[in-house]
Amino acid sequence: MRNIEIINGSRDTDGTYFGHIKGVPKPKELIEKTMAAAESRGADFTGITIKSSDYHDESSYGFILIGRPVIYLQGVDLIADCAWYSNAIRGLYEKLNIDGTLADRANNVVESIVRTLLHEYCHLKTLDVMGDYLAGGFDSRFTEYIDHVAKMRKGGPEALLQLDDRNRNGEIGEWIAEDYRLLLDPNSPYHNSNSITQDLLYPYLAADRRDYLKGALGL
Amino acid sequence: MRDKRPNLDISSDEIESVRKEVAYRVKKGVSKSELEKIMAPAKKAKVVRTATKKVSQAHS
Repeated sequence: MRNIEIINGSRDTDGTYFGHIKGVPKPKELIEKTMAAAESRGADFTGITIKSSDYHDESSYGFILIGRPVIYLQGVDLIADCAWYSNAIRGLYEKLNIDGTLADRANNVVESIVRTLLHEYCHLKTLDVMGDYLAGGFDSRFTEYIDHVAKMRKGGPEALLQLDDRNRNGEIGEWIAEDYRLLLDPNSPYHNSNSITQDLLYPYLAADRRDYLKGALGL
Repeated sequence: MRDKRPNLDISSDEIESVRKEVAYRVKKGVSKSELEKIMAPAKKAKVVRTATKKVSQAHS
């Protein structure tokens, strides 16, 4: 059974804030369809509630909060957003002389919601493995993975070290959520959002990075 | 912990800069001390756990 709650407005009853911009609500049937697609790629939403609002904050598509088995979907206008992503990534493919077929597949609202569901699901699964990594960081299982993140991040390890512990752990957690998502859904038209250019330029490094994550998470 | 909108406004100059930077980082490698600093919070947690274990072993 899938637990889906539609929130009308910018806040949930407990005060959780989706954003200040009124966007586009997602029909329950669409969320069910995308959950089924995400499940077919390895997600298991047992015990997880999906809360979907018609409000968003312009910067993200969804989020989770530590300690809650809830995935919050924000009300981004995905028809416009998918068209933007598809055009923009096509431009990047052209600059890199890469076949642009994948750009057409990115213009797809279902795939976009699947990306967000899997991204947030992977955060929840990582928290199951690591506990609150924002506070505690990552243990030695993640050494090789973080070594690759440090090599591929703009500004390298120096830039990572300029962040305070919590923000650094949070950023590494975002790389993990995206790479974990791509391990579950390798044919996704959406690249790791933290390293799109790097991964397109150096696909073998991206593959190695994901292999190390697979080992770290015991997948 | 958010699925963020990526930046896709990337110029050819920026692509070249990323190409050079990653190649440099791979060649140079990340030093052990830098990696230890990046992983530092976890190491602190490990020390605490180890210390607790030693205490409990001492009492057994």
